[in-house]
Amino acid sequence: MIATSPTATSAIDAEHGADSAGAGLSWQETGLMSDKKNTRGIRRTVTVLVIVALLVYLGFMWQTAISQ
Amino acid sequence: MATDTATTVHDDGHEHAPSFIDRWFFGTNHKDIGTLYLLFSLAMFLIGGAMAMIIRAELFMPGMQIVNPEFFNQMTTMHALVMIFGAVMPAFVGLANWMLPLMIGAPDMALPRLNNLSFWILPFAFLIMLSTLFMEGGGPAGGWTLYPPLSLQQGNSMAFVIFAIHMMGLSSIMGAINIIATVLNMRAPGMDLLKMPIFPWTWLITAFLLIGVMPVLAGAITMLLTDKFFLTSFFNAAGGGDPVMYQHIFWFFGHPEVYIMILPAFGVVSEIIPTFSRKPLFGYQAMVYATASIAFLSFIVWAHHMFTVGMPLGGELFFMYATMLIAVPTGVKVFNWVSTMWQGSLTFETPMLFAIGFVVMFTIGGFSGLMLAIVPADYQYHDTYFVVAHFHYVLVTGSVFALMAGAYYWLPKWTGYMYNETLGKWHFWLSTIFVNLLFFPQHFLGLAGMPRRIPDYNIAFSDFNMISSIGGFGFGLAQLLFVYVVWSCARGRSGIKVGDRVWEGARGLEWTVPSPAPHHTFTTPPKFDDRDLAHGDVSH
Ligand SMILES: [Cu+2]
Repeated sequence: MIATSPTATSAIDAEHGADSAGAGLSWQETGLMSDKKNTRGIRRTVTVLVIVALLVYLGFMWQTAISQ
Repeated sequence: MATDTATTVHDDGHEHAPSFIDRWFFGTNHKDIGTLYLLFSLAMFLIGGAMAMIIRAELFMPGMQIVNPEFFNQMTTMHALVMIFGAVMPAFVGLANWMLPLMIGAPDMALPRLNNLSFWILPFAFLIMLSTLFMEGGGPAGGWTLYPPLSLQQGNSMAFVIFAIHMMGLSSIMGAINIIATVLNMRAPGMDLLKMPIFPWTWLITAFLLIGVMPVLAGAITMLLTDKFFLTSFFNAAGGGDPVMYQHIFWFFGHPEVYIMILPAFGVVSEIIPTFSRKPLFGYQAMVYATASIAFLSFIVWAHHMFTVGMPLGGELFFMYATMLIAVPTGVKVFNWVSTMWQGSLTFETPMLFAIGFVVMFTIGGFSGLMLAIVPADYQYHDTYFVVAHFHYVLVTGSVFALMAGAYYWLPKWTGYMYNETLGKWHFWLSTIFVNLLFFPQHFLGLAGMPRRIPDYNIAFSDFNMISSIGGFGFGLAQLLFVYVVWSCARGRSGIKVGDRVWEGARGLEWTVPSPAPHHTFTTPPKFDDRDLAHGDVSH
């Protein structure tokens, strides 16, 4: 199965289930990544992780401050 | 960001000739950055090791002979900080950079420029931290845990140490984000999460641990900084603060931190044992779930480091039982490694020797950990050399042995040449004999009551300390052999070129690319069969 949209994450989910479905094609043609990168997925992952890290950092200090 | 096909499809087969500066300082290639991480961690391993030699030299005999007590305390503190943040953690990040894209069939890490930044922060962070040794009042001397009130009483170099640790933490968090983004978004077609090799799995879980706890450490030392320089009293009892609160926050970071240093080691060993047993990994899925269970449990055991501060009985019981529970998934892992070897056609090349050494000696450290988890017994063991013996078995014969195993295992893939097997075996046996001479007697010293972090001791402890020091010098010298083996392998001194699949029994995508691995790999998605993976056919 070859997705038409290079960054469609639904295509990624579908492709990862299939055995080597995209082999022999370029990364872009597999629909897994655009120019060797799944940029939308990466952007989403990074955003979530940065927010989590900041929340943990500030949350712990805030919690310590109010517990005194 | 989605660009037009015609403009983005370009040829990666072109020959690069970047200048030295462009390649090593501004480069974004995952293999080059992996190499930088590994060389940096080797340098830190030698610096931290030199500090350990000073410690063992002073402890060779009772009485003060070589250094003054203040400097001795700086050495124990710096040795820990350098080894943890400078040697072990960056070494595993180096392995991740080199091997993760190769193992999951990706063309590079997801965030190559962030990758460059993550690495280049580190040399500056360590330059700052090590420079405190030459400042007025010296470097940090209150132990790597930086407990207040002691850490608040030292000189202004504390500000530099805290800044340096912030930088190391930032580097780790950026590295972790990169690894998660890579594993979740850049796997080759057909590489389901539950088909992924164990090393990327352990690193994925480790990266989540890093993001969960490095900000906690950052928060704790930020508050330490404001307590010392900006008149707050978070941890200052005189101002209404609570020093024990610091211990809770620190160990909420500190316990998962030890798993950050051991889970990737589990991953490396889980790659090597199947190769030299010529069998698929036994219990692949159990390994994944055991790793995840250990990571989860690591968040709810922190107070076992502070049983003696005066906790409610209910708290002590909870942390005791939760800690002992970790033995279950860890036991699953040890069982699976042994079962992988069971009835395999074993050979004992250097990586396999270090991996087997890991399984045996890490388990010794695991058992002494169980002893320390028992609250009433811990009242005797706490802050003695028994603790020092325990965590060095886990971190040296555990993490460092796994790193050595991984280095020997992948060196031929990195350099294109086989290392000197005879010298590798010498390195293993010298390391194993001396490391046990170094750390095993420390159990007896601890049980007999010798406290940790002291430059002088009762003459009753003389014999075991002398044995331990001799083991220390021997272990230190043996590592110079490792440096030579790596150097001579990189220079191709053996003259033995290796093929793609360096080891007869090796499985996985990293063995389908040439040796040495070319600058660019998997520029088109790789085709693979499930049977090509180290854990065999996992389709159910
Ligand atoms: Cu712990």
